[in-house]
Amino acid sequence: MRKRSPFPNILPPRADAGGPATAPGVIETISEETKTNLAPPWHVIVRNDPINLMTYVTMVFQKVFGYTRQKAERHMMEVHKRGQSIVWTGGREPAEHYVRVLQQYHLLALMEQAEP
Amino acid sequence: MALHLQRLADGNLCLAGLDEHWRHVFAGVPALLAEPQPPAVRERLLPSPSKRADINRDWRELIAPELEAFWRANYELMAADLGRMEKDPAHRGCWRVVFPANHAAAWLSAINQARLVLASRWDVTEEDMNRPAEDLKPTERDHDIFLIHLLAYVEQLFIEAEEGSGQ
Repeated sequence: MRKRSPFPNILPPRADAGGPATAPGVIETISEETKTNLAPPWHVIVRNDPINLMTYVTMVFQKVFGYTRQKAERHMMEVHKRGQSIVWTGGREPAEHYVRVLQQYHLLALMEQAEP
Repeated sequence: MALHLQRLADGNLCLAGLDEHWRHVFAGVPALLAEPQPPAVRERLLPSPSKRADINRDWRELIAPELEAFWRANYELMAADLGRMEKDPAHRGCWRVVFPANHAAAWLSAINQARLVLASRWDVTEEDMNRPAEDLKPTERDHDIFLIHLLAYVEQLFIEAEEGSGQ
């Protein structure tokens, strides 16, 4: 990242993950919510690149995650010095949303499921 | 008169101090982004988001076109604003452009994307970016590296405008 160095339309995480319909006479023993809770979480990771400005990356973390400047700078410095930072951890759908928004801002963002 | 970005009393932003060189630089941003991009650039702008093939496939089919449309809307908005550039009545030989403050994010997107496109085309590294200006040579590659730095200066103006807007 460069030392010296979008957007307001950050969409909320998609909430379109409806569970499957239950067939008549079938008793579900594990709810969808329980299954989700048991699955390992997903990490949203941002990798370093030599072009994006440090001030820009900090601004993006603040806008996308609502982080304080201090926390956003901590992640930015981790990206800069260690090559990457886990910037958020949680469910798959919000992780996909965050990766999409970070890529919208041209950051090298990806998602990775945590080890079970 | 130096290039500067200021907020006007009516809330609009004014980019002023545009001499012929700066006019050329700004006009080049939407033009550059409208060009078909080589695979290296597309790979940088639309990297695979996962190690999983199914996620990457869905991403390419569903998300990538969405992102490209978003970026296109941004640089087209910047181009439309630039089309309203006018001679600066306060500074002879300079031009200015006034645009709504809520266009700043689109400008920032386009400027940042232009820097990434230039860097990806030439495979610019951290080492390249750290070369002092006096070491740059009269080659097309070094010209574009210089342009990446120039656009960084402009980008910083827009970052500060965004931070100042309280958005």
